[in-house]
Amino acid sequence: MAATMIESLFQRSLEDLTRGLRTQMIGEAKYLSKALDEVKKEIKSTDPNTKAVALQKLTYLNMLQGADMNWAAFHVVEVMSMPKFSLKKLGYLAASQSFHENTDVLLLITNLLRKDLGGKNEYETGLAIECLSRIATPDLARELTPDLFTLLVSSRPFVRKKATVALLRVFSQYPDAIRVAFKRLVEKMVDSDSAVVSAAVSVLCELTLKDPKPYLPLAPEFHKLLVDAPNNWIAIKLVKIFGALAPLEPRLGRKIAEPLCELMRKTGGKTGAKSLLLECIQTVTLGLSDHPVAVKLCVEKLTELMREEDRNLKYLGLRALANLMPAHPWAVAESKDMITKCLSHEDPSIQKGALRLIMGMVSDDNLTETVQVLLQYAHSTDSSFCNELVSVILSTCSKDQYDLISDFPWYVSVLAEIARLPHCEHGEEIGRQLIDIGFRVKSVTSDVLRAGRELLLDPALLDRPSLYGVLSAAAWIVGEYVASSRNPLELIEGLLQPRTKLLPARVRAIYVQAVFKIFVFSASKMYRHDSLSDKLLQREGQPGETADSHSSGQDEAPQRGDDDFSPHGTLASPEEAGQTNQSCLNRTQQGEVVPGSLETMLRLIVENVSPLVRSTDVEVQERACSLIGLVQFFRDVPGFPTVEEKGALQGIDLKEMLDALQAVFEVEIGPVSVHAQGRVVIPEGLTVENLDALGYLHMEEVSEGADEREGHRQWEAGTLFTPQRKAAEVGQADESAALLAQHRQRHESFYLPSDAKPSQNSEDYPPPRIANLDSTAFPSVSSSVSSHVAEESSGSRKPRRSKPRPVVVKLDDEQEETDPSLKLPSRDLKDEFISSAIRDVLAGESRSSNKYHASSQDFERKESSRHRHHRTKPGRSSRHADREPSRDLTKQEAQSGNEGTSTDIVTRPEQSKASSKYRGSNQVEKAQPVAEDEVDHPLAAKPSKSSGKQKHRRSGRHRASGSSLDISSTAPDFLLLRRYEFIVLAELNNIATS
Amino acid sequence: MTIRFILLVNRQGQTRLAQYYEYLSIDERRALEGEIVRKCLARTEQQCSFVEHRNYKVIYRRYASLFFLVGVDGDENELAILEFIHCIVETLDRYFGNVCELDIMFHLEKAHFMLEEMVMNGCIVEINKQNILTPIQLMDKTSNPQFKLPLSSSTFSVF
Repeated sequence: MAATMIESLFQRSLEDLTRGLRTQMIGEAKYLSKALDEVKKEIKSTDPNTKAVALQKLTYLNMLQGADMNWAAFHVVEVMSMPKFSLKKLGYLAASQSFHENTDVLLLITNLLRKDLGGKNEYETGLAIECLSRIATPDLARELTPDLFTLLVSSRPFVRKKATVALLRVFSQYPDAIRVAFKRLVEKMVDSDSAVVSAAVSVLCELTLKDPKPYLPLAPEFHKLLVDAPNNWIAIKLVKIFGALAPLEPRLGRKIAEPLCELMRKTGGKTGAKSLLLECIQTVTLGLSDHPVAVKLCVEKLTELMREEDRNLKYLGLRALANLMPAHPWAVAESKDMITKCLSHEDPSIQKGALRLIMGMVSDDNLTETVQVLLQYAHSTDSSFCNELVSVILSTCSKDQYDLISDFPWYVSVLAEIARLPHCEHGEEIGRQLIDIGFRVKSVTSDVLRAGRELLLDPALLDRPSLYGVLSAAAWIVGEYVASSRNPLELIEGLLQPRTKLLPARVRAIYVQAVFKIFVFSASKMYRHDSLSDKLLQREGQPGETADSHSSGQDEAPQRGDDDFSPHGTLASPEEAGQTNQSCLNRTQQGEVVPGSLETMLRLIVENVSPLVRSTDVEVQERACSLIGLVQFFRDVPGFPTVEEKGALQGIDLKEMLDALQAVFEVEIGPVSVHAQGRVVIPEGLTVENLDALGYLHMEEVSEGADEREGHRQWEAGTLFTPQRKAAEVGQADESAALLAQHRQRHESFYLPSDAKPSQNSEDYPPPRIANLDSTAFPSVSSSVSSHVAEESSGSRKPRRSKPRPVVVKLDDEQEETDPSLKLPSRDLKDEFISSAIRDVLAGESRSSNKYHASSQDFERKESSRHRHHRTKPGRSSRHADREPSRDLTKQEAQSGNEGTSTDIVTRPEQSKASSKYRGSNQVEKAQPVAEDEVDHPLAAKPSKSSGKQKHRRSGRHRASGSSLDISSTAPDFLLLRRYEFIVLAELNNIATS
Repeated sequence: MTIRFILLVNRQGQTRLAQYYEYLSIDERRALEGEIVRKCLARTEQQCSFVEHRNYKVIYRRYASLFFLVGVDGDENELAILEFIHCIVETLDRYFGNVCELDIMFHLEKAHFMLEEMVMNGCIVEINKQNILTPIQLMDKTSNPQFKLPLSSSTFSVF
C-alpha cells in the first residue's frame, strides 16, 4: 500500500511530461526514452490511477512521437474495464488509437464492449460505440450488431447519433448487419435531432459513393430531405449523393435540377455558403450536364467565383470547369482569358489546372496561338512548370499522328525552340518527334534538316545531358537528309567540334555515323560530278561502266518520290534539271561541293576521329574504325592527293564503292505498319529461288518493323533482291540462315506468325515485299492508301485552311496499337457484399414493408435467446460460438425470406402511390439486380456469402480476360544503324568478290 | 470514411496533435506526416489551401503559429472541410479562451476529446459547439479535478 502511494505520489502526469519535454537539457530522444522507461514501470502498478495515467502518457507519446504501444495492449484492456469513467475513457482512447485487426486481445473485449454499450451512463455508451466504430472486426461486428441495433432507437440523441455513425464500420466489416439495421438507418433520416439526421446522411453518403446503384430506391427520401434540409452540412451530403445517383437515372436528374438551382441561387453572393454552392456546381457538372438551365446557372456562378481573387475558389473553379469541359466546351471558352491569367499564378496546382483546361480547348484553329502563349510562359516560369508546359505541348501536338498540326515547318521550329529552353528536360521526346516528322511528312524534310543543323552547330547545347536525345536526333537527321543540305562541310565541322568530347559514348557513336554518311554523300557527289565531265570519262577509258552506274543512279531517282531537290537527279543530268526546274538548279549550285572542301573534310575526320579508334566504347570504336578505314582509301598516297588524282589511281574500285555506299544511304526511310509485310501479295510469276538464304534479312526487317514502326528502307527490293546480287549472297548467307532457323525456333514469339499466308507455300516466313518495288514511294500499298484517305478526310473536315496540309503518313493500324490496355475496375469484395445486401433489403422493403420488421424482430428475439444459451454453456470455444449464430441466422432468415416471397404476390399491387412516380423509373434499375439475385438464391433466403462467392468467381473471370488483353508483343530491339552496317558489309563484300 | 486524419502542427513542423481514422503503422505515419508537413509548410500565403498528396487531399489552414491539416478522400468538399477546421478552432477558442499552441500542448487530452466529439470514424458528427463541449465540461465538473489542476496538486486528488 505504501509502495503504491509513493508510486502515485511521484508519478508525473501528462502535463509534467510535456513541460519536461520543453525544458529538458538532455536531448529530446533521450528524454523520451527515459519517459518511456518510466511508463513501462508505472503501467505495471496495481493502483488504477497510476496505471491509467501511465497509459495516457504512453498514448500521447505514441501520437506525437511515434512510440510503439502494441506491447501495452493488455494493459489497455485492463484500463478499459476500470469502473471510474475518467480512467475508462483513457483506456478507450488508447484502444481506439492502438488496436488494429491483428491485435490479439480484441477477442477479450467483446463482453466488455457489450457491457459498456448497455451501460446506464450515456457517455459510457458513447465511448464504447466510438471504440467499436474504430476497431470493429468482422467477429466483433457480428457479436455486437444486436446491441447497436437497440441503441439506434435509444431515447438519447447523443447515443443515437454515435450508433448511427458506427453502422458504417459495422456494415463494412459484417455486411449481413445491413439486413438487420439498414431500415433503421433510413429511419434516422427523419429523426427529430438534426445531429442524428446528419450522421445518417453521412453514412448513406459514404455508402452511396462506393456503389450508387442499390440506393436509387431511396431517392424520394433524399429528395424530401434536400428540399428542407436542416443545415448546410446535410445539404452538402445530400447534393453529393444526388451527384452519384443522377448519372444512373435520367429522370432523377430532371427532378432534382430545380431544387439544385434553388440552392445555387440561395447560396450565391457574398454571404452564401460557398461550400454548398461548390457542391451543387460539382453535382451539376458531373451528373446533370444535360440540363441546360442548371448548367447555365452553374456556369454563371462559377464565373462569379472565379472572378473573386480567392485562390481556393480559383483552384476549385478550374476543377469544376475541367469537369464541364467534355460536355460543354463553350463554358470553358467563355472564361478563357481568366484561365490564361491563372497560368502565371503563384500556386503550381492552379497553374496546372489552367494548363489542363487550355490544352483541352486547343483545336487546329487556335493551336499556333496557344502554343505561342504557352512558350512565352515557359520562358518566364520556374523549371518544374516549364517542363510541365513543354510536356503538354509535345503530347498535344503529337496526338493522333500530329492531327492538329497543319503548319509543319512552324512546328519543327517550335520543337527547336523548346529544345533551347534553359529548363527543358524532354530531349528524348523532342528528338523522337523530329525524326518521326522527318519520316512522316516528306515535304518538310528540309525544315527538319535546318532545325537539326542549328541544334547541332550550337556549342552551348553540348554540355546539357537533358538534350542528348535531341542532339542524337539532330545528328541522325543531318546524316540522313544531307542531300538537301547546302553545306555538308559545315555539318561535318559541327559534328566534330571539340566540345563533342562532352557527349556520352552512345551519342558520339551516332555522331560518327552521321559523319560517315555525310562524307560518303559528299565524296560520291564529287565523283559523279567529275565523272560527268568528258575529261574524266576519257581518262578512265571505260565509258560503258560509268554510264551503267549513271543509269542505275537514274533508275533510283524516280523511286524516291518527291526528290526534286535531290542533287543526284540534277547532277546526273544537269540539262534535264535545267529544263524542268530553275529553283532546283539553284539549290544544286548552293549544295555544290567545292573541290577543296573534301580535303578539309578528310583532314577534319582524320584529326578528330582517329583518337576515337581507341575509344573504350565498342560502338564508337567500331564506327570510328569503319570511317577511318573508308578515309584510308583517299589518303594512302603521300602528299595528300586531290580527288582527281585519287580517282586516276584507284579508278573504278573507289568510285564503285562510293556508289554502292551512297546507294544504301540514299534510299528513303518511311514509316511502316507492323502488319505491312503480311498484306503484300506476291506478284505472279515471281520465283525466288534461295528464299532460305534470304530468310535472315526478312526476319530482321520484320521484327524491327514490329518493334519500332519507325522507318524502313526499301533497299532489299532495290539492291539485294536483284537476281545478280542474290547469287553472290548465297554462300555467305547459308550459314546465317541456319543460325536464324535456330534463333527462330528459340524465340518463336518474336517472329510474325507464319500462317499469315497459308496459300503461298509451306515455307514458314512471310512473303517478300516486292510488289511495291516500282509503284510507290511508300513502303506498303496499304499505308499509302491510308495516307491519301487521311489527306482527303482532313481536307473535307477543315475547309478553312488557307494552305493545304502536307501529307502526314498514317498507318491504319496504328490506332489500335495505341489503345491503352483496358483495365477493368476492380471492386472490393466487401463492397460487393454490401451492395448485394442493400439491394436485397431495399427490394424486400418495396415488396412488403412488414416482412422486414418481422425478420429483424425475429433476429432480436433469437439473439437474446442465444445470449442465454451462451451463458449456460461457457465451456465452448469462442470460435465455435461465433460460428453458430450465423448458422441460426441463416435458417431464420431463410424462413422469413420464404414468407416474404409468399406474401410478395399478395402485397405487390398495394404499392404506395406516394413513391410510385419515382418507382416507375426505378423499377428498371431495380428489376435487374433483383433478378440476378434470384438466380443466385431465392430473394434474401441465403446469406450473402454465397452470392459473394458468385461475384467473386465472376470478377475472377473478368480479371482473367483482362490479363489476356495485357499481353503485349515484345519484339527484339534492333537499332536502325545496325542495318546500315550489315548493308555496308554486304556491299564491301560484293566489291571484294567482283 | 471521409476524413482520414487530422494533424495540428506548429510552424517548426512539430506535431502537436495527431488523430488518424485508419490504422497506419508507426513508420507509415511518420513518413506521411513528414512529407505532408514539409509540403504544406513550404507553401506561401498566395497558394491555395489544398494539396494533393498520394491518394489524399490535404486541406490546411493556418492560425497564428498552428497549422491545422485535414487529410480527406478524393471526393470530399474542400470548402466544407475548411469550414470544419474553423469550427474546430472556434470550439477550442470557446473552451480555452483565445486558444494558443501552449493550451493545446498542456491540455492535449481536452483538445483530443473535443475532436472525438466532433468526428467519429472519419465522419463529422457534431458541429454544434455547445454539444461538443457539454461532455467535457461535465467531466471537468463531476470527475476528479485531476484534469484541471496543474502539477503540484494533481496526484493528491487520488486520495
